[in-house]
Amino acid sequence: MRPSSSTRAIALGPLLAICGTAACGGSIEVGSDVLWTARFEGGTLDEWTGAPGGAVSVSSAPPGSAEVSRDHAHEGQFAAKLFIDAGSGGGQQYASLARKGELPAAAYYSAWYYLPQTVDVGAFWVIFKIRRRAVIDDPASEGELFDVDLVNDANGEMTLQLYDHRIDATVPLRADQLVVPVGVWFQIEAYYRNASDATGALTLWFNDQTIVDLEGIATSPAAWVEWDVVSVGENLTPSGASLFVDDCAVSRRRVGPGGRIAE
Amino acid sequence: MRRVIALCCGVAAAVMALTSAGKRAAAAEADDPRDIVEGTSACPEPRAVWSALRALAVSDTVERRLRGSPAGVPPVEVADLGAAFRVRAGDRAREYHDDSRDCDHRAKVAALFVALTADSVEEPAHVTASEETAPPPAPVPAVAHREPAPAAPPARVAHLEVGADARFGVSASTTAPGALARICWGRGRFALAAGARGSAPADATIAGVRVRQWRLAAHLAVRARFLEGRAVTPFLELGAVAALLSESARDLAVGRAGTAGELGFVAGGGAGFLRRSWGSAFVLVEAEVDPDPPALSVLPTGSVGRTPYVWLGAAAGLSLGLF
Repeated sequence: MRPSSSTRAIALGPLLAICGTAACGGSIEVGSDVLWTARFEGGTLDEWTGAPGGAVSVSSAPPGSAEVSRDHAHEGQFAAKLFIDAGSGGGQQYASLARKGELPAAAYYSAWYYLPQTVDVGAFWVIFKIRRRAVIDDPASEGELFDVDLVNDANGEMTLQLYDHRIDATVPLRADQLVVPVGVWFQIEAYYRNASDATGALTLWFNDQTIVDLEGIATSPAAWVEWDVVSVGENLTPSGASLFVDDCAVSRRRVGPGGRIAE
Repeated sequence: MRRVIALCCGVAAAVMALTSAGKRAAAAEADDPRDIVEGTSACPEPRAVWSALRALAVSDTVERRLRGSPAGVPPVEVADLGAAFRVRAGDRAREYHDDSRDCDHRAKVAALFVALTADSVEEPAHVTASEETAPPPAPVPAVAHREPAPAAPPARVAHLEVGADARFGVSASTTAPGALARICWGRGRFALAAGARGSAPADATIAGVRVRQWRLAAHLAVRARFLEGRAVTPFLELGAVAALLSESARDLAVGRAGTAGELGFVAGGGAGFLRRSWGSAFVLVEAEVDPDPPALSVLPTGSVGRTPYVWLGAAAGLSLGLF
């Protein structure tokens, strides 16, 4: 007996209905490993100040400032603009966005930066920091741990440097002749695993390029982590230095240059 | 082996007797079935059955042995069911399928069934004196000394198949239990199978992401059956499948559930066995292939991998004849 056309239609109906109501071969969004973001699209710095342990601080305002700006944006319309006036003889100046504590023992920390012009770094210019505490409940025990600095290479172009406060020395980068572009957004991402024994780690990526990979290190005596997206400089030329920051994220999964931190 | 040969010879003898007696049976159609064969059947008519029975030269034996029926109930009754007919002899009945409605053939088959049934019935205990002195009944063809072969279950056009199911998503490291229900429509070599199956929620790992997933699939397939009528009837299937797949993250920072459709083809094979009047049991193994399965997306990475391209499944259950 041959199936009738009506029989075939009845049988095919459910098949077509399923693919009609749900896109075949589409994508299934099952969630996110992003723990926290700051995209500044609200036009404020509230994502930082409203987060547990979040803080925004400026050393001397004015002229120093930390504010939201439309001048440049990585995605969307807004970014944070960190401005410091750190000329010769003026000492260390800073504009800082900080997350103190309340961070996981291991996570990825990502931020996008925009450097509007080349700056001659006379002393130092720190843009990304990991800090620690010796005693978890004692703010007075806070100290420096790792700094990612902008420095000038032999050609006067901007490049990166990692300073390890545990040994008071710079850490050689795995990338030779790394140039930080001016007028182009670039990403710095770190994987940091906090540990008091030799199970800690720090890996740094610059635009998806691994530039530092420290494994099996003791990083901090206490289970406390601070991450700062900053502009901390001294003896800069020109003295007024702007740094734009956007799409900051703390994630359990690597963000990478192509990562999406929001829907 | 000797038993099989004897049975074959018996069947041949009975068929030959029926065939050679065809003309005589036609001439005897006007004979009175003497309340032995009754019914309103048009094909075969009770008279035709009676004639065929007489051609077997066992009508007396049949009459005597089947007279033990309750009062008011004829010993033999035939019913025309259209594409089938039913014959009852005493307390035994069989239904035979016959699309061609060959009434002569039906009459002979019915007579043979009646003869075989009568042969297996003991003589009534309340025989009369005249019957005791009657001459011994005519010898029954050899086939009558054998139990009738089990009649084939009536052929059905539609079957409902229900059973337990297990699916394994290749590369998803999971096996999910489930159930299936489908209609198999058709008779003969080819049939159409359409239905649905569902897999219960089960944990899986896809591209390193732990998820809980369930799946609901509908399929439409052509089935080719082999060795029809045997104790075990193998079959092969090829068709299309559409599925709704749901994934829910288990250990992301923020997990949620999402669904997507799948469209692919299915190929499999199985067998029906343990045939009974109500249907049979079946087993089935199959593979579903989706050439473009949904991607699994996790922030911030985006797409981390695909849901399985291939689902392997096995099912077992009952095939219930509907009509």
